[in-house]
Amino acid sequence: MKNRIQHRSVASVARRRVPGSQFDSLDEVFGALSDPIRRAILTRLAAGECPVSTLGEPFAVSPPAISKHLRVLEKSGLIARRKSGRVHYCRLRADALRRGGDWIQQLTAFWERQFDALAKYLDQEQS
Amino acid sequence: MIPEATGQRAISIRLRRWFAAPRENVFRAWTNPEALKNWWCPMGWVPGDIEIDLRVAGTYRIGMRNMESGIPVSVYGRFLEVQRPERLVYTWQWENAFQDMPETRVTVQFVERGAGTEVVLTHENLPEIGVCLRHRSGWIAAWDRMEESCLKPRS
Repeated sequence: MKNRIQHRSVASVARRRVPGSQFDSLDEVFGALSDPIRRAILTRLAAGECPVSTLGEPFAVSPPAISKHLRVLEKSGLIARRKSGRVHYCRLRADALRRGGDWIQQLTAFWERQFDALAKYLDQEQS
Repeated sequence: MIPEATGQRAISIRLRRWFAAPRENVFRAWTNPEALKNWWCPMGWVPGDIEIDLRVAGTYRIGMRNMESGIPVSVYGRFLEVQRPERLVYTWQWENAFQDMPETRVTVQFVERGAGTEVVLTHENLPEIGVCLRHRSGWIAAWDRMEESCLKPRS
């Protein structure tokens, strides 16, 4: 029962959110998350900040390829870099991941809204 | 490679709703282009091209357009299972929204219950983000919010 109430409250949010602009801003986050190596890099960074040079170690991938992955992650806002002396460090950025979590809610909200609309349509059809 | 790099750990969403209508009607509303025109689009959106080839390996596209900006958004994919009027499985991809998102999968079950129909919808293969969240206490709130609306796949 509790779940149902939560879903209803999500559904009321859904009416104010339409696909399009809100969804588009997340393309980069999900694009970045769509690659297994990038996800593995994020998992690694979840344990704490790492020097860039050590991030490629577990993978059979060239350093330029790792750099490319890091650029995608950085552009998406999922990671941030800083330089200390000659060493570049990467760390995870929580806010971008949170936006990803919000997207799960948005998708749930989307389906709840579709259910609401379908219920209305079926009622009209019956009467 | 570390395990998280290769594992299929995608998350899924499951929702249920009961509708006061016969199963055949609910199934038709879900799959018939003319019916979809009447309910699919959110406020502020109008239906675009809706094409549905309702058979295994058949494709579908449900388009809509924003009334103000004119921006078109579609959902498209292909049917993996079609069992009228009880079960549908299809791939799901957005066009003009989440362009880089991988193909996801939707399963819809239409169950006769009481004087109506329960629809059980599972949206699967959503990109895994929980694995990134799990370790950090600061993100526990976000993770909890996800847990509320997500079910992990039963493996």
